[in-house]
Amino acid sequence: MPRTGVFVCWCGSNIGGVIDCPETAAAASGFPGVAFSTDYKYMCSEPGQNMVIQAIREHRLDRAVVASCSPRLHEETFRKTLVRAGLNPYMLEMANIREHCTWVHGADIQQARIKAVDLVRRAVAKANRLEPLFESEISVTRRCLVIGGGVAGIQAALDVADAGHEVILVEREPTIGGNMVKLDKTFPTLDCSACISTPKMVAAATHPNIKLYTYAEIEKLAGYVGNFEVTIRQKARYVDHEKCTGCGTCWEKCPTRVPSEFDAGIGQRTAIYIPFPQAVPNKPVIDREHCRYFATGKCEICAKLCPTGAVDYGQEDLVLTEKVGAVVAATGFGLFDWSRVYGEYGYGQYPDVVTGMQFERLVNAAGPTGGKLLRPSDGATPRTVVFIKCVGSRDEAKGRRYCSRICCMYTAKHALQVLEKVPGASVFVFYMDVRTAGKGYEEFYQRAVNNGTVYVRGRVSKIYQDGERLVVRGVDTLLGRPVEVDADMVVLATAVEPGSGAAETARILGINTDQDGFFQEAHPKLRPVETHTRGVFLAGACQAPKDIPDTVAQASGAAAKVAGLLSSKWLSTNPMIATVNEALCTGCFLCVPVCSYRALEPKKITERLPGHPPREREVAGVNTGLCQGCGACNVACRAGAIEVRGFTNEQLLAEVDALCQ
Amino acid sequence: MKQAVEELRRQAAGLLKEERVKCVIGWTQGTDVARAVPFFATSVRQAARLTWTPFCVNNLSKYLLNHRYDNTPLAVVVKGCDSRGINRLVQDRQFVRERVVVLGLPCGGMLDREKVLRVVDPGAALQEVEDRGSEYMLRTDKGEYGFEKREALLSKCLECEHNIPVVSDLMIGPQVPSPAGSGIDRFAGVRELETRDPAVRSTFWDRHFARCLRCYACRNVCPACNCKECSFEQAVPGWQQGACWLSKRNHPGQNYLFHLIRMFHVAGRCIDCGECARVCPVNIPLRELYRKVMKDAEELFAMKTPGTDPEEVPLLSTYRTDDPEEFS
Amino acid sequence: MLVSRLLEYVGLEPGRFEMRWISASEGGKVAETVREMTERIRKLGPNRKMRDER
Repeated sequence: MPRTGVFVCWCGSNIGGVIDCPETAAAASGFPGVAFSTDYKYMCSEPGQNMVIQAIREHRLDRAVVASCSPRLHEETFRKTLVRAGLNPYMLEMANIREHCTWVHGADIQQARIKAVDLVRRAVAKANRLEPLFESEISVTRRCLVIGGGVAGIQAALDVADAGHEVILVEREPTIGGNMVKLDKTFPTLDCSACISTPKMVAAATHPNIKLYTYAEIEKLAGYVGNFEVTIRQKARYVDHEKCTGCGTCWEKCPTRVPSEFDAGIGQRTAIYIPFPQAVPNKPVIDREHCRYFATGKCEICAKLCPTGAVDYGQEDLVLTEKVGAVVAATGFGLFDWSRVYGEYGYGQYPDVVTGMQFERLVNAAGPTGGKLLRPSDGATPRTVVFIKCVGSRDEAKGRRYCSRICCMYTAKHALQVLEKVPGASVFVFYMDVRTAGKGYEEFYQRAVNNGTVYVRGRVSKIYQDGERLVVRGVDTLLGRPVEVDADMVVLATAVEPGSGAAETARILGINTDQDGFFQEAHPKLRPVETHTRGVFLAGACQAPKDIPDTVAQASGAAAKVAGLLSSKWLSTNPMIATVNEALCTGCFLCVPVCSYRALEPKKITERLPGHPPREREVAGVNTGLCQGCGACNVACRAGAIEVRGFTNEQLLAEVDALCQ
Repeated sequence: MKQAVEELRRQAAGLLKEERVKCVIGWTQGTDVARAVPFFATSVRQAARLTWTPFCVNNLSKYLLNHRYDNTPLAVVVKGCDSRGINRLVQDRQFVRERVVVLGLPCGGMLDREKVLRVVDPGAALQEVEDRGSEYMLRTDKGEYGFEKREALLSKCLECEHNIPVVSDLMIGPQVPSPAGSGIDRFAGVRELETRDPAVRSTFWDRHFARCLRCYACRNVCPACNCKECSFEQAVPGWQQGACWLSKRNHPGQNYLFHLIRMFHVAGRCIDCGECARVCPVNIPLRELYRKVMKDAEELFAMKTPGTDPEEVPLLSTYRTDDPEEFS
Repeated sequence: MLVSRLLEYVGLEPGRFEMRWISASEGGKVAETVREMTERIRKLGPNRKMRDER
């Protein structure tokens, strides 16, 4: 017979102010198995915990029910209390009579009292069937994989590396730096983006603890927390980076010109190229698709001119594996392709309707115009510039429902840049709302307004070309009348969206994406850098649209989590996971596809049954490192061979029965 | 069908003689004219007793389970519908496909025993059966009888989907046309029930389930029921059973749950061989229960009859992001 | 979807069974759904199917 102790907490007036805790404790004393029950003002406090310990010793209790707040808050606390009292920590059951009862039923005290007793009865019924559970330990590979070499990935990699752990940094582009390094200036301080990001790129590339793979993608992630094995595909660069000195002869002489991705399509690059002069590594790759040699078999100019003979047309993709203990996904964002859907803005037909990112390249000293603001169509200086915000953001019909968060600020920055570069220019911003939550942000926006930017609240309904000018038609909803602006250039603040390939990355990593396609954090508030897959963390805009300060903060947060995980050689596993009754398992493995954590795998056992020769057969095996105890397999197993420890069928049914009494 | 019988016996004898298999699971003539019973031929001599008549209703794939953990090489004779059971067992990893030689029989439909016995003396000896396409000719020592297929076939045969086995190593006998009636709605029975008033439907099932004896014959005959230990008979109290949840007691409420739970255990896996309904001693129309899910799954998720494709994943173990949903 | 169709098929009143997709952050929706469901069930009265008479 179990000897259960029931401890009802007042939580000050949170619980005690609504229900009569001594009465609840008294009611609990009559439940089956209850050997002792009491109440106290703050059970989680030092005297409260001591009271629990003392009661366990005095009344020889072998398990406890604490009726207080959510287990999210204090389950860990009371488990430790039980350990101090000499019990197994898993002999605890919590009854949440605060969030589930007094907080929500404060208006109906009578009902709240009844419900509190019911909840305690349920907890006692389960407690009576609890069994001690034991944590096991798994070893940890003290290395970290960071996917994505933008500012988030660089920051996370640097922080983890500084903490003394090896980092594998994988970037799919030929250079690290991501989106940030394409920007000209950063709000709200207007410091030069390249000046603050390129030193970080160099620091990452030269850090003794960081191993950098550029022009590489992850193909597979196997294993589990502490023991991942990642397969990386190093794409063929057709240039031997061991031999290459980055002298630049090849890309100067290459005869092929294609639009530069780095310049958002408004500049050009060669087929053998570095994306931008400060690229890291500062060595070129050949774009096979556009290279004249690969297309026609003739040319080979770069190979002939290369002083070190580094060009190697025969190079092939290299597939390699690395063992790591933790993973940080920092794959960044993409930008909404407005030209597919915004017909009213010309479907991308007008060259002087550009995106914010193109504008960044136009005003960037390292951009195609050398930092002079010249419009793409004729190279003239635009005197009237119109900005349109929320292109694709907050637009459920054509784009995304969410707010992209950064556009208000960068549009204010762009407005200031126009006013600064083109004295006497007119700048109009069409907006829905101006959102400036951030340190120094509102002041920055006011500066844009005070410097002469005209903010018009309303959407633009049409843009059309009239000679050299673009006519922008919209409505000022504050004045309630139509507005028409003759503009030289229009800049669209396009929505931030999940980076291309985000869904595939999520699949490889075994993490979830939210309804917008961003990576799903484990908890929006309390676990914002973790995922539901243990050992995989998130940094930057791959989780949601973010500005640079937030991205860097989250990256450092993820790095701290990784450093914490890698700080020990051993990791204890959660014992509340699935367990297979091998005698019942038929080995149909229908549980395998339903497991999101890939924790179930076939396992050979030798079965010895009376009257039969020993026989080998396959059953499902649970990988204790991977299993998160979600219970999906439990439901899928029609043989009833799988149970989740701490949530067994017997325990759950006892709870239901107790509630239905 | 004479030609098929001879070929079946010859092939079975060959397999046994060359010791490619230890046992050929087939049918032999039963105790009366309209009955064929499962038969396990283990020698060349016994192979001569194998038969193939329109009374070979038993789905023999289930018998493979008797040998799931030993390495006995086996051969099994299957009709089209039974052959889906082979895929079922292979997909459920209860049997390695290579271990069994599947002898497939193109099938012209099974006759309804009751209807035949209304005309033919049970004691008559069946000499030969001729499949004439739209009718069967039964030659016995007491005379010849013709049966219109449209009239005398089992309803499952008139709704036949695969009269040629979907999986086989060796096809026995000539191809025959499908007995499926033209323009027949496979799910007519289900649809008819669906249109009735909920209260009528409720009483319909109440009455049927109340008669259930909990004999578990439906489970024992079902190739999708291949658990090592049935969840209804586990000694430990479990989700599906146990003192606190579902007892073995024969009680309408409990019987309801038994049938619904069994239904969900075979949902997306039931191969629609109809054996459950055939063996039910109290004639519960189980097929109409299981086929409800099959019909909905076909309409909602374009699911083929389970067992049709050896590569398929059971419906309830998979999802596509474009699956329809009614969540709000 | 299969479950609701099946339960109706075996004679449960439509509306006695419902599945909703509610995320952990949608507290209001939980309360609303439970309220709606309770109302509906109250109108339908007690379930007579599958009763466990112990």
